[in-house]
Amino acid sequence: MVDKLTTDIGGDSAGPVPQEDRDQLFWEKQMIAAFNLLQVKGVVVTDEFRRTVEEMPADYYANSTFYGRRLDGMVRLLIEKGVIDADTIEARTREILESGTRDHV
Amino acid sequence: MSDHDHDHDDHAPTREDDDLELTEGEARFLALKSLLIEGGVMTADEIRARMEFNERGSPHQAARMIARAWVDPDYKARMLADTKSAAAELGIEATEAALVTIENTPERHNMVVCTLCSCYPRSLLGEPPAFYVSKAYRSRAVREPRKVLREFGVDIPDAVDIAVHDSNADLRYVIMPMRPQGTEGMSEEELAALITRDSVVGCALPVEPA
Repeated sequence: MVDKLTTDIGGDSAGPVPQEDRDQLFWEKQMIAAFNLLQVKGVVVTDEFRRTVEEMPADYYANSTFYGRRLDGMVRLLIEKGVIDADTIEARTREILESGTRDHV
Repeated sequence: MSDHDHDHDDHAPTREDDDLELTEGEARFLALKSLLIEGGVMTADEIRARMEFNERGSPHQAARMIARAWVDPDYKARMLADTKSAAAELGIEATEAALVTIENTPERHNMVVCTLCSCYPRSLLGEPPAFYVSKAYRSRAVREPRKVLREFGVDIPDAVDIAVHDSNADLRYVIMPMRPQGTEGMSEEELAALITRDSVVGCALPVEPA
């Protein structure tokens, strides 16, 4: 038997369910749209994406957010497939953070 | 039901969060987006069009279907037999692999969770709420649903069974709540306003008529 997957938390004990709603941010909506397009275009399939989330280290997973995992899994999968380059996306992320504006695309 | 505002459902998603500080996550997404566009994987117009398509998914869609089912037994039978076709009848394009509708009865209350991730009928309900994707809900819903429901202010009597349905990417669930008492004379539109997002996930009951 293998240990259970990091994502397999059904039945675990946990604290209260958060009742506060949170609106999706604009970039999160864009990210979901981009993710959907990657699926529609056949660049990624759902099971590959799920695998990238399942591979996340337990402590990372425990402290991650829903949209954070989506972005992280997407980026890692696209790097793995050679669609984007790891150094390039890191450099561009820094560039955008330093400029502090959203006017990049 | 004047507080049930549907106007925003049709708005194109154009608002930027210019009042919020740029986070590392957003910057990383913007970097990714620019690389995907430069690499010819997708265009900015395609992303915008897909956002508009995604915005059509909202709790109002599920509410329209359930309200129709409440007034039309034939439609209800079709919805229970084939939810995606029933959605198409009302002009709703469901992109999910498979959708199954489960009906609440006096003997059994149903609720939905995705323990492994966040699978959710987005075409009919929009993006999942924060509680649905929370680790607490994903962990506890299958073990102590009654207790979880009480946190939502829903008290299911012990005599009523609770069935918890675990969604996955290939099969997503819609709960059809029971039509509340005292709604006999109400129109389909009035009925739809009683059906909340959480009632379709099984974490709430429909709004009681005024």
